[in-house]
Amino acid sequence: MEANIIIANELRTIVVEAINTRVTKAQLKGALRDDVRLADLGIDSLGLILIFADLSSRTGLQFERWEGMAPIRTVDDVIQFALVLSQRSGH
Amino acid sequence: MPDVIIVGRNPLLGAQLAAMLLASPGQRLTWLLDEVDNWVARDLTNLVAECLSRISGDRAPGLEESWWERMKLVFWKTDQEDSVKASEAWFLTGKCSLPGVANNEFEEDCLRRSLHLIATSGVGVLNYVGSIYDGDRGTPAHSNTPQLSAAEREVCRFCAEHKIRVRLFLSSWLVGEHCLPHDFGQGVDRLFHIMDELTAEIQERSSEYFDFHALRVLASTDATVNLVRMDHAVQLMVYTSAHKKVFDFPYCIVSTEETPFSDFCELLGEVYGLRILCVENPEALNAIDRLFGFQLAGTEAAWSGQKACIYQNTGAGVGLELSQDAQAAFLFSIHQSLGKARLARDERIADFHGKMEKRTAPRDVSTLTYYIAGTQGEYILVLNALGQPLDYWSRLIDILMRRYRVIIWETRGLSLEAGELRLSDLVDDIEVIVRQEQIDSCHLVGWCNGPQVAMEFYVRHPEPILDMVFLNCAFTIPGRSDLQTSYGETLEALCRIMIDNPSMTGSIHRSLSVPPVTEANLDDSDAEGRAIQVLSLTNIHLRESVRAPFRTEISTFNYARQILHLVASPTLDYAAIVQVPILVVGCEHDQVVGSTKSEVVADLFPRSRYVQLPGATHYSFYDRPEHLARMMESFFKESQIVSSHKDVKIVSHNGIEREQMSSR
Repeated sequence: MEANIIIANELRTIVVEAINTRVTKAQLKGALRDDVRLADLGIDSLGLILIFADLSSRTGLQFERWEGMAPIRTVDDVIQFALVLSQRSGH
Repeated sequence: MPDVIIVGRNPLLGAQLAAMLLASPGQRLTWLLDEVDNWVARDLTNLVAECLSRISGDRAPGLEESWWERMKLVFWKTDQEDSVKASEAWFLTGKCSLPGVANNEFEEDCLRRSLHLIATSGVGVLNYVGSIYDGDRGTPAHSNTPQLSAAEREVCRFCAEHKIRVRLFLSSWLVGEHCLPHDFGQGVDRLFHIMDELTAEIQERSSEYFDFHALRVLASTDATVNLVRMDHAVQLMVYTSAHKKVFDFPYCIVSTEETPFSDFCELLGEVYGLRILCVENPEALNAIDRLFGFQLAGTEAAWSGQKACIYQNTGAGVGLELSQDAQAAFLFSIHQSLGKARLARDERIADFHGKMEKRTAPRDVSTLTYYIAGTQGEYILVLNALGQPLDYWSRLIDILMRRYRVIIWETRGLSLEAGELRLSDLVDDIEVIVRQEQIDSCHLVGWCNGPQVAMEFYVRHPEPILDMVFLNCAFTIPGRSDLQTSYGETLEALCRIMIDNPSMTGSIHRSLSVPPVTEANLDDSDAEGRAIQVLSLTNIHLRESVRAPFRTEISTFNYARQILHLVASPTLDYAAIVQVPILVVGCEHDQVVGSTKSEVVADLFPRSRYVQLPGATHYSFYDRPEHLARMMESFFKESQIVSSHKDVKIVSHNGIEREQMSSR
């Protein structure tokens, strides 16, 4: 249980870091609220793919978009997506 | 019956006037137009026939059978002027206030040429038809007579010198049931065209925007417009020209009644299925409203200036009023005509590839397939963006092919399993086509990375190139990473990841091949942000096409390699040696290549013009094909004038555009 929480927290940190590097609006960089929309951070759908590529490299998880997946609009959506991938892969 | 000539730049009014004149048996007329092709000629003759049928139906059945033998529609070239003879002339003023389209010079040139023709063709009487809203009329002189504009005074002076008697008809907004979809329109007709174009453009980005939000226009609460039935106005002018010997005096064709502008907008909104609100505070406008206002530039004098009804100097206004029922019927009819024209266009381009002639040329690693649209006129070579299909060009080519031979192809190399297609190969492709088609001279039109290929071709073979048009050009400007858009940076970064680590390609390809979320938050409480979101969206019809380079893992990888190769090629180093004129078009909401970059690029060339299109995206030539086609044709004409007269200085016309076309 504790280990899971630690992994979730680490993953969350990695995701927020990856998003932060793509924030184009300087004043919004830093501590990101979970409910912030990626669009409001200047991150479009192509930017999200770049974040996914970055996260794939950092975590070894396969971050990909697929047809029919729930739209990822907020920081929290990315975190939840990462957690689901992590659980699926058994990390 | 004296022979008559019609000249000027108001074809809608010209058609109604021609019909009214031809309704007199034996009347012959020559109508000279600057821009006429088979397409335009068909539109105009159809309209003349329709108007004539309406006019003559009651009083001279059967007249329409012979009218076409008495009307000559002539594409006006200077060398034809000596053969035109007439005793009376009609000059119809007209403006074309579009960014990137020469207006003042052509308008003045049109008037100058018309006066020359009138003087040499034996004309004794000139009927000049202008707008009461042209120029600053100031306070009415005696008997509610408007002061003449500079152009009108010039006409009077010229006519006096050449012993030509001149009648001046000055009208308010002429409204009728007809419109000419190919024309941009004058006065209120321009407003209808703008409404049609703007609503279609916004709805193709966000189909629901106008369901939730009104369109706002800047106008005072007491603003009014003066509307006159066009057919009645034409009847009155023709009658006056035949029966009244009043010369050198402005004869005002205005209604006795003013229509509140807000009522007119409400009616217009009803016809178009949206709300149009008049607001007095500019801060109440959002980006879409401002785009509407920008496009209306030149027409707002009709509701923001002097009320036209004060110019009742002849008593002719009685009977010219336009009832509300007639207003509604006319607006509905025009809306329907423009809608039908749009549908007809969509049907034509549905089989876009089938309308073009397909040709092939063998190349070392694969066959080059290219298409030719149009059978006459100068050549335009379209240099498409890397890996993009031809669909983007369908609407523009549908217009250009009427007067030009347009050649287009998809760039090769995305499906290659081995080997790499480089910039020089893309340039070779142009060379092969130019040689195979035996092209001596051509215009080059490039989009996105197309201008880079155009430039490289120019460096290798400048001889056949007359001029170049760069649409949303994606050049890399050394030391100016600040000009890169977020999209450009991200795409480049993704390309590098794939090239540095090819095993990532599969994952990135799969993500890229999923349609992106493309919607605006219409509930956003920030009206400005909401409007900008909508304006920044890609046209609904193109959202599938933009993913074309990412069809397969191989195409995605090859695309990445080609993009990075282009980015690394220092093409702009040669900018200073380019001697042909270049039109650089940037778009305000281009998410792929920022408009600032286009402006900076334009500055690097010795002979260039920069035009920024407000409210437009990376796909402006799909969203606004008529505008882009007109802009290109205007530029091609001007660049030929500039090329033949090196000392010609073309000055700025309007809006955001900036020009430096003079030779340096």
